[in-house]
Amino acid sequence: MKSGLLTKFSASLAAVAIALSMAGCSSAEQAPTQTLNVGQLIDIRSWDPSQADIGHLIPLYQGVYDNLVTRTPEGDYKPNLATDWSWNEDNTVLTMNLRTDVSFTDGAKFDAEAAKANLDNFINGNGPYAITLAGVSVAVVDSDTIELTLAEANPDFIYFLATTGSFMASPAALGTEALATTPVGSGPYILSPSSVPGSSIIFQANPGYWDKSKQKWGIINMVILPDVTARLNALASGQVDVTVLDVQSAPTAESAGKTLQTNFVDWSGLLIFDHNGQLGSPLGDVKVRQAMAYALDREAMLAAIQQGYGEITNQVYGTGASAYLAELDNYYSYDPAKSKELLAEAGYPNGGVKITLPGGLIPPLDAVLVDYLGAVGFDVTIESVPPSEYRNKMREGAYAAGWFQLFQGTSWVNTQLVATPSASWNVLKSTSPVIDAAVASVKADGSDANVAAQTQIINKFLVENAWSIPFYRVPQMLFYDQSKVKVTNQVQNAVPYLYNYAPVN
Amino acid sequence: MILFVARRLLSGILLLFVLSSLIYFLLFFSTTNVALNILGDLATEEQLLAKNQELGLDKPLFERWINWIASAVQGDFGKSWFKNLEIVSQLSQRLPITLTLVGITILLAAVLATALGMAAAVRGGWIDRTVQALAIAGFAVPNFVVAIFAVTFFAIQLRILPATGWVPFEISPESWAKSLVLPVFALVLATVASSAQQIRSAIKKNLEMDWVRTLRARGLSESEILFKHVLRASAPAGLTVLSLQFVGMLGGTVIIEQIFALPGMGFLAVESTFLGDTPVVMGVVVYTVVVVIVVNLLVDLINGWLNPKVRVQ
Repeated sequence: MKSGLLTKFSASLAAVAIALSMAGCSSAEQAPTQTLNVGQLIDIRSWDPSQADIGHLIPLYQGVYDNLVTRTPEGDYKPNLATDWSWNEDNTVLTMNLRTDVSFTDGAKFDAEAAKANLDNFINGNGPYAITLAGVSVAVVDSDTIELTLAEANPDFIYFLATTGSFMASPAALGTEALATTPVGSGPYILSPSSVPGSSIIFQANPGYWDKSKQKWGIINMVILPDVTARLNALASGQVDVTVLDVQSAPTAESAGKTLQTNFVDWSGLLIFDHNGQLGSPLGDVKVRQAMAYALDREAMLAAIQQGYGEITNQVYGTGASAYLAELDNYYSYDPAKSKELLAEAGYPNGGVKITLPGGLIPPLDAVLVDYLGAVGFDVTIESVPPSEYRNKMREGAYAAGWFQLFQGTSWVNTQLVATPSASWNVLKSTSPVIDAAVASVKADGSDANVAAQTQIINKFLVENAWSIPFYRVPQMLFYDQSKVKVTNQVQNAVPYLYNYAPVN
Repeated sequence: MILFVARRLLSGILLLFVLSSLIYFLLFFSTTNVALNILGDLATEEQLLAKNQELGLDKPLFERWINWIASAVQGDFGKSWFKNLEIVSQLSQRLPITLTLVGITILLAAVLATALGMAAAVRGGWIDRTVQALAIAGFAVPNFVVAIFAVTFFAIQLRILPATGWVPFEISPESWAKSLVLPVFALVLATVASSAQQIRSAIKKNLEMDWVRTLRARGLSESEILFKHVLRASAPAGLTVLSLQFVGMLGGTVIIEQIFALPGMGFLAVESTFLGDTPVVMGVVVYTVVVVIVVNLLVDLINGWLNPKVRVQ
């Protein structure tokens, strides 16, 4: 009897265990059914992976393509189509082992030949990030191994592979005109035929996708809404669940019960170009630049221009970068007396320091700059420049300085954006032995520790010499419906990656 | 009649050539470093040069204009600099959306304005005064203000209509209709207001004509006189106003398409102008001018059919 009861009890336990395991199986294999509606700022320009871009565009590519490596929200790298990778001794040859169980939606198999075809397509595609893989040669070692040989060591190489450089399309689609409008990838989603060009990009779950952890939604509808009023209306009416707004529209979204999540990926401030006085401006004198930095009341500017949304900073590196030094955020406090003193030392005891800045993008900011700088002795002229020409005018060297809002990438990306002689925003190609030595050191030793040490040296140099004059870090203001979606910020990207949105239930 | 149409067509083609050439030169003189805008901050000088060559920007401006004209005559406007897509295919997706929006607005405005104008002219009194007050209000309140109020009330408060977006008819006729209600509402108020006023004046003037008295003397009923004769005689005035409204609305939809995120011509024009995608802007200009010419020609033909004196002129 006892044994009978035991047998029954054991049988019941086994039945429960089987039932539970079956339930577990079915929930693991169950396709996601929920829909996410995202208010998307920018429409896709081309689905050709060679034209991939970061910021607001990268989630679109992540929908339909896999890349070799992915980036966690914190910025770490983890395997994706590449299962593991290793560098040679001088960090110029990267060997990557690839998955063997992945197919594209047209049935083609992903292998080393496909990876090479895609990397070559990116390198030769003249896209916005082609430069990041320039000079790289790709060799197929065997069916699931590739070898990438770099012209010189690049500490951010894996970063570029994990962002724009390694989205994989079917080799059959590469080079075809159709790829611009019809993506053929192996990604977690497939572009739905219900998508409306210019209006909505609809992703539906790829049924055969190999990594279900990245496929959290049945459908993702990216609604193209470039206009901020349209985005606000769509969010407030429940048409979209998540979107980026601005400081003007934020109060309305908050009063509509939407949740704000800020992500600091840009700095706002004055870019100084004429560090060596090539344009004959007074900004060639470091004391004049420092006087400018001391003349600005950043707290008041943040309140007036940004309605308080932002963080005061004096450095161009963001908090997520290893070059970031917290003590540099308040290096230049608001000190008009010190500013006047520095101008006097620079040979302007009576002021009259003539500076011409491009303007017109944010008229209140133009007025504030004229006011603060004028108060200590600068004679500021603002030249109105059409928005479409603003950036180009500065890049062409038409001004000694100008206001801009610039991306805060990884330490090395940022250094190449503003500091090195070839940096895009070092418009007049200013040089400094300090920067040159630090850059040479990174090229010789691209380890994380050395990159951090050297870029911190560069950071200190840039701040102390007022190479640029940052005001504050400005946030991307992501509003979302917290009853429906959980959102995780992505370090050094304007919006979360597509994998960072998860259903609440 | 054939000569009349031919003359109109010839003048239209001349207008198209002059306007498009003028805008071509204006746009290209003000274009700066497109390659940099396309390739972004990390682009090298070599990449920029390669992009300029790819876009044909290394050639003299006059040569580029000749090439553009030669291709445009064959209906080929090239590819978007930023999206690498055929401009004709982009325009053929966008134009029907704008024409649908404007066409429905004009049709609705024509019906409402005729009814209101007729009621104001015939009944007079408070109806007349209301129509005149509405006309002033219609002029005074910009359509984007109407749009924002409409979205706040119908989409955000009541949630009965979508705040933004466009659904093609073939995907869902119901959603298509819903996506048009608020934009049409925002555009139609001002159109009705101004057209009703013109129609009212024309009907009132015609009702006082000798030939109307003659018709009455012949014993025709008031409704027969009004609907069969006075309305026809007054139609050219309303038609002219509505055609002007149609042309004006092609530009006016720019803001409405932005607010409602409708991917029409206005949306494309703003996006391309902001990016500096000059070939697309040129495509939008040519398509818009062609639409304006065709609409004017149609209005002339209808006016000619309504009023034989126009044909003689």
